[in-house]
Amino acid sequence: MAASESTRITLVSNDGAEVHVERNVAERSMLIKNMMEDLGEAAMTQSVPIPNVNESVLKKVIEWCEHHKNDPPAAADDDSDSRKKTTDIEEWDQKFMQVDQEMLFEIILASNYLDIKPLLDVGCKTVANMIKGKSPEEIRKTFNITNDFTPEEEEQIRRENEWAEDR
Amino acid sequence: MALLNCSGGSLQTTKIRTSSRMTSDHHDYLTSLPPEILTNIIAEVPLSSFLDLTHTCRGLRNFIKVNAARICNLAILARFTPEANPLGLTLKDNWLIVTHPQLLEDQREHEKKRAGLRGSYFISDPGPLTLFSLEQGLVEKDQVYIYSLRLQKLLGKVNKVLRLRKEHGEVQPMEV
Repeated sequence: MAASESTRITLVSNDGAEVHVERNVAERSMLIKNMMEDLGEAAMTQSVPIPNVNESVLKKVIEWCEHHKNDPPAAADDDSDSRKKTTDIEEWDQKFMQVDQEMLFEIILASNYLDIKPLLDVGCKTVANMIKGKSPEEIRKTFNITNDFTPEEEEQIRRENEWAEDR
Repeated sequence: MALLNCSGGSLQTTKIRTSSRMTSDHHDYLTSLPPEILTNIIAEVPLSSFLDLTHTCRGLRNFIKVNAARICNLAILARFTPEANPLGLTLKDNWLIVTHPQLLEDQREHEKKRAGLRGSYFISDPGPLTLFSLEQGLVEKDQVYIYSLRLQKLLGKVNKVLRLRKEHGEVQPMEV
């Protein structure tokens, strides 16, 4: 284990770019970690295809893994408050997530595919923060959501809102 | 954690929309997400935002209604684990509800005093009340404070949107 810490492996994005990365950084991804274990020694000499992720997103995800490579591994069944409880995102991660919406959602999809739970978590919380405190119209604007309600449904919603105001 | 494995109903498995437009500036990424990720995101916002989301478009409205129990359960487990632990959470009709005997007893006492108050909900009823109470800080280890009229109304609104109805003394969860 200790010997493999600084070994580098090669990932290949879906647009054919080779990305060289320390094995222990790449293994923040449970998908890659499991692949490494299955491949054994072969993983050191072969490149590892990542078919669902393009170069720019892969590099961004690796940047996150690099920064978080020394985080204690999240024990799956230890529901210690620290991770779950917080709705805040640590400062570095907040900055990391200041990207356009396309990249933000690509990071979320990639972390889901690569099985990097803490990154997926940060991504989901970032989107959640973009929803919180906004009116339906503001949410639509933020996410380019098309209002496709029929007049009858609009009326139903209007009644739901009326009800809300009289609280 | 066993509760997570049975956290309420089956997830709607199809995306709200299939992506057709892929121009980055005007693409609706949110509703194009896979359902399990969308569920995680909605579980991170408070119930009030949850309602605002149901007012944005048909896809999200339907998604939230169909997956309401699952989203609420996930929200409780993700956001309130320390508070929720002593409450004796159990699944009833797919909803995580409180079963702590002392809390239920408190509630019965209150209910007696307020006999006949329309639209009151029991914390042991399947529905969003448990999440709601946790969010509002209404549930603590040994007490429930859910009896203000204002809060009853707000909760009523949540239930109305989710089409939960109080009938014959029982809250009927919407069939999913």
